[in-house]
Amino acid sequence: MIAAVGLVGLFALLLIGVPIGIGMGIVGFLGFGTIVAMKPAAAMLGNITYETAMNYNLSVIPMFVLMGNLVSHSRLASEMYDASNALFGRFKGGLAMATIGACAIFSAVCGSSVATASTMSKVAVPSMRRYNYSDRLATGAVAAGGTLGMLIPPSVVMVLYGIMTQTSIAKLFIAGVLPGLLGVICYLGAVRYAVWRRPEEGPAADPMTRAEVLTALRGGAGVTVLLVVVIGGIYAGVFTPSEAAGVGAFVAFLLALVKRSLTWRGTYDILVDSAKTTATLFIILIGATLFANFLDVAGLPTALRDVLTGLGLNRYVLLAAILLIYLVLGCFLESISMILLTLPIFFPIVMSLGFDPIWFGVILIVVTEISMITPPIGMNVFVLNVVLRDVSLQTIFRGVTPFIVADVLRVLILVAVPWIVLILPSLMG
Amino acid sequence: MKAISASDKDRVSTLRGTGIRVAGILIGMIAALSLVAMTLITVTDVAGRYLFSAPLRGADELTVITLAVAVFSGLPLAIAQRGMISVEVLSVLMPPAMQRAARIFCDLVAGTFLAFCAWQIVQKAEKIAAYGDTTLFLRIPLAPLTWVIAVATFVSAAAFIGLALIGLAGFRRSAEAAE
Repeated sequence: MIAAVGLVGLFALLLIGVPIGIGMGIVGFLGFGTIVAMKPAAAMLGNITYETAMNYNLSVIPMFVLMGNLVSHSRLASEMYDASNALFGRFKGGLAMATIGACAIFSAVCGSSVATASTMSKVAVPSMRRYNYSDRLATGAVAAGGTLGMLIPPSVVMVLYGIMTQTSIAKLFIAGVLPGLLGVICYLGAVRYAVWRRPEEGPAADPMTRAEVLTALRGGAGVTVLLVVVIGGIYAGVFTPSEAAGVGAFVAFLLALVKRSLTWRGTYDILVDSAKTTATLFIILIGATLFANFLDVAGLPTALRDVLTGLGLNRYVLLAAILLIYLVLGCFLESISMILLTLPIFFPIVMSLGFDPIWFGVILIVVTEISMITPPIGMNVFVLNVVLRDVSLQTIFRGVTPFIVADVLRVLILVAVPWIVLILPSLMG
Repeated sequence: MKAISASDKDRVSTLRGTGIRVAGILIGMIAALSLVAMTLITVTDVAGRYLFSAPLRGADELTVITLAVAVFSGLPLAIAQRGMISVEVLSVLMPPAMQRAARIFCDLVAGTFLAFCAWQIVQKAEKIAAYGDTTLFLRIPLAPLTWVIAVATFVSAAAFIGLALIGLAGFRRSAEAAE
């Protein structure tokens, strides 16, 4: 009962516009205080804030955020795109395929699908327009491409998932690699399908000379090396994720120096921006922890689990229901808040259904990223609509449709063959 | 006593503006340096371990300290620039006056809550000081750091209250203009 009041109160606070982390914190504190007692609830505020700020595993967050900011401020996006073009450009729909490839790597390193969509729209869309690509395919590829990186490590969402559910962050990272590649393949397939249906939408670009191809590929090498160092280092056990993040930030800094894209002022701004982003993420995490503690003492997860298992439904039906809820929530919340807010409720249920925590983490991230491009409110689509004023929302939504289909296909594959998710982490030992 | 003239009032508000800007730059410096320190600590530790088989002793303790400083210096800056993540679906649908009122209300609620949190962290800091807690390896006392977190949380609460006051002033101005 108190849990229900708390949930309603939380939604009221969030809808008026109270910051998500603060809203969860307030409800968590009041709810815990009502059920247990105010004094321990108040002490909990101090304790959880202190412990979250001093959690070594979380040092991975500011370092990856910093790495992402360095990369996205270093004009590396256009070089990634050129490199990707060198590989795909001469095919039908090749520029859109190049966009997918560049988006995948760029968003993996930069860590934000919205930032990728807005950066890449400035790089890739003009070039696709020059080759008479339809706006529909061009914008669809950019909006969808941005969602690929959340699964490819390093991924801040995965760090937070790992912390909230006490799942190994290193294993989560490595588990994301194959599903991430599968996502790229599915999206490339979606582009091929689109140009097969309507060949006029994505003509082939002019072929490049061998020398041009080599220069372009060399330009993309920096970021790719960065990604390989981080992922490879974690997989081989050379670094912990926290160390990989620190080293990654340092390498990104060196890359930016080599590109001569840093001024003192710019560096200061990048550092301060990274600290600010980190702080907003920590507030959400602290709020979510307080909120989770309240739900726990209120017994909501166990009660809900008993009700749901009492229904005697197939576990895949329940999983599908939970995933649908995420698609709806995605209209109101960005992915990180959504995952942190709902994990305390859904994670115990999913575990009691016998699913693997690492596997569920991967599925969850894929689904929340789908919600970034699905109507009525897909964040990436809206961002593109803001950057490219002359393309209507409707056109972009129509453009992302084949990619949504590809994503649904990917979820079905991952549900049917969990092996794709679990094989690499199991080899890590 | 002399009445405060309009120009005095202007000067006070400019001074206040400068004060806030200087505070912002100082806090920004702290945030930037803590991230630089965190990066260098990690790189030194990893490089030391693999290249010279001499890891930086207590690197994780230093990392944690820079982490806390980075987070809590970033917080007031994020708040001051409205960087906190919130749901914006409903507020877009409200009429502008109501939107503004809702924002003031939210800032006040958030500010009050953070002030309360800060007070709890002060108590935590006193407890830590009384026990004389230190980090395990380098024996760095933890009470001062906790005080820093508490002060930063107070500053963050003040940032929210400041936003609410600015919002109220704007509200009053537009009401006067309407008259």
